[in-house]
Amino acid sequence: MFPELGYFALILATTLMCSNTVYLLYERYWQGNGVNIKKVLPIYELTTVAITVAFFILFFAFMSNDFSVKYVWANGSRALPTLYKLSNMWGGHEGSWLLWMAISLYYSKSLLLKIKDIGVEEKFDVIGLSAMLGLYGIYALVASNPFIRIMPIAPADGMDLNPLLQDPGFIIHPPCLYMGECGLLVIFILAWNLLMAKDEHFESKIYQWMTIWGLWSWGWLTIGITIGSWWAYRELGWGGFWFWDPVENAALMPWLCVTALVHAVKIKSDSKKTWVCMTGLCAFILSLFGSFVTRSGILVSVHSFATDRLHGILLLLMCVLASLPLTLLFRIIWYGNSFKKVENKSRESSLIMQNKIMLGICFVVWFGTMYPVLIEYVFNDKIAVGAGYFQTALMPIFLLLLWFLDRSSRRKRSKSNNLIMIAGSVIIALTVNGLFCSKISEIEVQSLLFVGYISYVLWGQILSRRSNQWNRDLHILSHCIWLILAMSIYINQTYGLEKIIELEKGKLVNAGDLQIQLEKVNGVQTSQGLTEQLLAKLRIRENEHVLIPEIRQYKTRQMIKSKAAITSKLMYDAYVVISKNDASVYTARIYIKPLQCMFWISGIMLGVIGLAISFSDDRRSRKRLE
Amino acid sequence: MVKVKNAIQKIKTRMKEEFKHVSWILLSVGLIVYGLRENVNLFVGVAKLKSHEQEYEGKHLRLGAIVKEGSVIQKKGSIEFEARDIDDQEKSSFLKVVFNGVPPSLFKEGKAMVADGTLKKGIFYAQEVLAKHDENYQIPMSK
Repeated sequence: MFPELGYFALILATTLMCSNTVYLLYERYWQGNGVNIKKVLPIYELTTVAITVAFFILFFAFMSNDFSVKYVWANGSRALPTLYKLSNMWGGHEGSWLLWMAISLYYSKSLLLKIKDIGVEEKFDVIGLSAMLGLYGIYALVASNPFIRIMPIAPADGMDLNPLLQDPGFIIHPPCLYMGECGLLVIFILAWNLLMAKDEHFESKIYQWMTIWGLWSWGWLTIGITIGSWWAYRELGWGGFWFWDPVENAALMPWLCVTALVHAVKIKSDSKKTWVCMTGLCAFILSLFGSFVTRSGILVSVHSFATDRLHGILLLLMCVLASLPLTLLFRIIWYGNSFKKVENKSRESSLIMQNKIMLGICFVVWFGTMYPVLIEYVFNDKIAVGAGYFQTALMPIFLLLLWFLDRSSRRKRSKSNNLIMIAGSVIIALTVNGLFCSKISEIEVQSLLFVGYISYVLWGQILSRRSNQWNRDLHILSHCIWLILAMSIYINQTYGLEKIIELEKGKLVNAGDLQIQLEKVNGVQTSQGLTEQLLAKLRIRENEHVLIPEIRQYKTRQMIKSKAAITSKLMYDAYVVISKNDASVYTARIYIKPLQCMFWISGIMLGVIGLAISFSDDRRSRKRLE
Repeated sequence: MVKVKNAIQKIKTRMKEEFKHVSWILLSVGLIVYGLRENVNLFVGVAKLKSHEQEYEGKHLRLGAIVKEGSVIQKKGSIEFEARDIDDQEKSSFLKVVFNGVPPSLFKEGKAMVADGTLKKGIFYAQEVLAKHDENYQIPMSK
């Protein structure tokens, strides 16, 4: 009974959005009226309620183990811990799309409320918004309906959530990511309106919202991606957090565009409009493209889920539709005067260069991701692009980016400051080498220079702090944290250690600076199957760590998962994952990951700062209204 | 006359700008080509490898295949197994793979794996073996 109600709510929401689109088109093109938000708003409110109801009905179905619903059967099970029933909601394709729709609707509603408050509703075009939401709904009904029943007899138990998804990281990662990705729809609509805008007052209003929404999405995306890599680090057992996998790239590309966007709104010259439109439109298109990559199975990925041809076609169609405004933008670029020479003020041109570089990185990542597909269609050869491609191609661009970041704060820098910076960066570079290199002779010139340069830019940022405005301080702080993030990634990659060792119970194994001993093996029976807990003592130089990696059995899916054991210290992570080949031989993979925790901390902090700036901007704009 | 001069000036600045853009694009394309140079592996299956053995000899390849049931021989620090194509229903053609190292924990008989390496005289010498976790996050049954 309840799932049917959910189904009905989904149909209702879709019908409302589609008819709303038709109504708006009718008003606009037959009657020639502007849009009356007051008339549209109740429809949006009703749709939001419908989707919320659908969402909670699905949740209720998981909680009550209603395996007659196909989606619940495919992802849930009786033995699953209650906490993970929450991640069941977004563990599969249908549920995650429902979450996507729900968040998009809430965002759209709050956008409309804001338009109403400010009183520019005649000028604001929401046809695109309704149309996109309508398409989401149609997609849900045609290709991804979570409420389909299994007829006539319901199975007694579900197929269980994929063991790899049974992790706290996965409870929070998708909602955070979607909080960001769905905000891109709002940005898309804003960019579309900006493209059509004719008077300056309206434009300035849009820039304001763009800043707020851009930072909001950017913050959530940053947090979402960081938590996603945290999950991959803990669960995949490969000792890394980023694999340049198509799905990871799909999340990274919108992030790059939004990063460009939040800087583009700070531009003061004529080309502002072009850049804001460009990055805003691209961000949303790439997020749709991301769902196309994730859900269509066109690319082989470790993260792709529930791949299906129909999904792919529909999502690609949506992607193409969303790219239509881009043609308009190119027309404007071509005929407009956005090519006026930019005054060579360092701040202005640095901002613009930053945008170009971000889009350049985006293109390089896109190309690396899609290259196998292109080759397969053209030459019918299957190829794989390795992680090395991204590293080699992106490194020079990254250095260029650093240079321009430094240039933006180089104005008015005194000579003494410059000396302080150089001294400071030399100290940091030497300290880093001293801390992470086991022998002095191992100092590599390249890494010394690189760490030194990053810290040079970092000092430049810190010294450029002048005013007492905390809002501006936050901008500088976010740059600093981003630089620390980059540095910790570099140190992590350069000074990391990886060892594969065969273990026997009780025997002490030496491997360079490491010693490992497998002391005990405990068998523990859990509700999902047998878990072997392996007590391992790991010695890294003087420090001893006791780690308990596990080999878990999952009965329902007949899968075995090696759960890594990680001890996080401020300076490094010790990471051990053990797999069993034979009855008595265990293989341990040991990773020493310097500054791993720094990566998580700075990633989350970066996101939180984005949200904080967004909040404060929002409050200021509200105050101005009053 | 002034008009013409202005027009020429306009075109000149425009050309300059366009030149900047083109060089910008060329730079990123250059980086892409530079990055792709050594990091692209040809993805091949067992049947294709066997039928074009001469052509692939010595090239850097990436083999995607299923590990044959009951073929894995573990030695100290190395492993040997036979691989077959994913869509090879009759289970007819097999390729011997040798890997000096320890396979990942998800590596299993009857499951998919990916190996990077080279083909030498009918034996695939892998430098790295990766195992995919179960195809999708979803269960295989619902496919």
